[in-house]
Amino acid sequence: MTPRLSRRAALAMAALLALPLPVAAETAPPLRVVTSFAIDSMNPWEDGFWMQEFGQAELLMQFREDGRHHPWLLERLENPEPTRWVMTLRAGLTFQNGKPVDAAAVLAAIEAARAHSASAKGAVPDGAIFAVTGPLELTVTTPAAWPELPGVLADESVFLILDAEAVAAVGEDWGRLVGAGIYTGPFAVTALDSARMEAVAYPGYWQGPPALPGLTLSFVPDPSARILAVQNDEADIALYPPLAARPMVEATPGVHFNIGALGTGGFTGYMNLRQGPLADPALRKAVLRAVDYREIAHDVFRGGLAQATSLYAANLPFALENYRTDLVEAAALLDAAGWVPGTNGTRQKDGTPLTLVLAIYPQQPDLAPLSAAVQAQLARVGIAAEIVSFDGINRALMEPANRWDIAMVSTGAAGWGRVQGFLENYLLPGARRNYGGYDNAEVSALVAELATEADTARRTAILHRIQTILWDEDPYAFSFNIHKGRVVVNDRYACYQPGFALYHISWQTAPCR
Amino acid sequence: MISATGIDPTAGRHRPPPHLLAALVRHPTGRWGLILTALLLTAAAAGPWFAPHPPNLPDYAAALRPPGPGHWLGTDATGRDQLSRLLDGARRSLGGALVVSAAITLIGLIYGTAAALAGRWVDAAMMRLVDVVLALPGLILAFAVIGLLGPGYVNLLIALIAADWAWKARIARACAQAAVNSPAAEVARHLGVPEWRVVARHILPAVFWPLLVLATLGLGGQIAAISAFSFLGLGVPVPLAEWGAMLAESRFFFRIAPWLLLAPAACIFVSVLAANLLGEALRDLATPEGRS
Repeated sequence: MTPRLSRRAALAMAALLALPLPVAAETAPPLRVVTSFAIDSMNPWEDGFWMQEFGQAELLMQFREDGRHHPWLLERLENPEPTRWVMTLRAGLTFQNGKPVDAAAVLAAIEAARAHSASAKGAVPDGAIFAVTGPLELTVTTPAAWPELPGVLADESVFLILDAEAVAAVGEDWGRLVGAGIYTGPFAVTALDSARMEAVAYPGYWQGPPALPGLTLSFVPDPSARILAVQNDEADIALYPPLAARPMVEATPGVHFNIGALGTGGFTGYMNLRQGPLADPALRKAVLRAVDYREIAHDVFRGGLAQATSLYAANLPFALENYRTDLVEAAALLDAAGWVPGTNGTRQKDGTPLTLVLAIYPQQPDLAPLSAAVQAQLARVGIAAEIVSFDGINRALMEPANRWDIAMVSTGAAGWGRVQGFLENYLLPGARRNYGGYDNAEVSALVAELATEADTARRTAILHRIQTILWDEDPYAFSFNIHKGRVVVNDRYACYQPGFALYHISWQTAPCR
Repeated sequence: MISATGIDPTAGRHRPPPHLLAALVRHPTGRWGLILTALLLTAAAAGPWFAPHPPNLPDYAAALRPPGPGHWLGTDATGRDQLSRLLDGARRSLGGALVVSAAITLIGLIYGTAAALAGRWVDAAMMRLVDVVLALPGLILAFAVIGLLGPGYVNLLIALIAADWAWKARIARACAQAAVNSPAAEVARHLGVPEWRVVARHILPAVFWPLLVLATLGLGGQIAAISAFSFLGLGVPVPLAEWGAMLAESRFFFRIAPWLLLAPAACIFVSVLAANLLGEALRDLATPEGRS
């Protein structure tokens, strides 16, 4: 008798075959990725952070789409008391050069980073002590609670787990680290020059053999050239395509514009309180309510960016989701502040028209349509706006001679789930990125409290209060949108989803079936 | 000496024909140059009144519409009317080129004439400065000035002036030197005519006309330069329209919305063509041989 498939089973099999699932292809050719930024050297303290993005290096913790930190090279991370953390490594980990990854090796990597990396030095509180307390166990003790530790361990710019002994052996002749297998990731670097990086699969990788035999990462600054590379089958994945290219890519056979999950940052607005009309909090409140966050996400960028519902991305557990567009309230606030409609539609006070200067920068091409949209939105409540572009935005905004009212800067308000860095660097008086001269005593006190507050509920309450102040009482920094990952891919990688938190390549990355 | 443009700067005999406009109309290419230039300048001057829509106002529901009723040249990615933006951008593309050409002509005229009149070591020192500027490639110099001043429309115009004035000064100095020692100037001095009057009547006109011809011939290049720098994002700020910037904005859509590329490209082409036709006609009319 001939075996027969039931209709349901046949349909299931057909559906399975139709799904563009990643395939663990032993014969798959190496992946070809084009990206905008060049990796200048193998210097782990300055350029090492790239390595975790493309599958060479790994960290102790990983920040995932649920907005939480999960163990990566760690088996577990425990916080038995506020000033003590215990880190337990997975068993059987090895560097790509075959050396074991034990507690002593991890401690050496951490201490080397603290000695050489500015990011690591800045991330660790004074008095913190890392110590080996078992073959696979490290203990961290601090004078005060250090609630940010999980985020610090997941931050690509802080503690990469590397073979510190091998790194020390090359001095500063970083080129000798090519082929040295100093990291633990699924792909080991075999070549690096100014044009590309090559890496091959590490067969002893702890999660299993990588699905790809290797990858080539080419550095192509021009976004059109990156897209054309995929279109001409010279690359499989193009990173950082501008959203403006999406309609054309979607109309081109054989290439796909894939939008990923919610990120942790976006285009953030900073208001200038040092000069200009935004010293008035009522005017700042009116601006926040005049911005149409829905239109930015859905009409201007056609869903390529997510709508800002708070300072933070909605997937973060402490996001307050207090943003709303309200032109009536904005107009009322402006009226009450004495800005009355003029004959040309622009409001004025004492004969002075209400004109704001929006500051953008050329390195972010998406700021051009965003600033034009915001200009049109502000005009709806009678606020005129001019757009200026500064090359080197961070320096330009801190220069008192430059006139600007709202700076539009791509910022990670909670990069790798860490909130403290943004708050301290952007909101505290005298901080290096406090562009607009914000100085709110309550916010400063809350940020200081947050640094050592270990209780999750209290931390959330503090962050909610800061978000309330920034929206309702003393506005300053606000999100225009929340970023989403995006890539252009060819048919072979049509199922590739942009990596969350810059994890572009994993051991499972593979062509679609 | 004959320059690359066909003008002999040492001859000192270039004068506008008595009825310039009529002469241009009679000239086979000048006629077309004049017509096209008049049309373009009219569009630039009256653009804001002719524009059917606000040039900078987004209408996301109308994004990337092909040419048709309501939007005769289609719309861009944010739904802005392409025709309105072309008309609005004409003032910056053409007006900027006119400003740059006028400025370098004026600077060249004053600098070159002053050097020729001063003579001796002042002349030598002023011309060595010109040599230094001419030794730098114009494009590199323009980029350097923009790097110094920052991007922006006014800064772009300053950069283009800085990159191009020295060549005009060199020509002006040669023309002025020939005119200073021309028989007409010598006779005037001999008759006791004051030196300022000699300069005004005999030297400046002899310098101005060749420079005007050169400026007209160079106008097309200035339009293209403004468009090229704006294409690179170094010109007008968003969301203002300028033809080169519009080309840059269209590059992601050229296969699905070719009208976004073709319309500003055609405007740049016609403008450069008009300037070249007019410039060549003026060059022909600059010499008695050409006039005949």
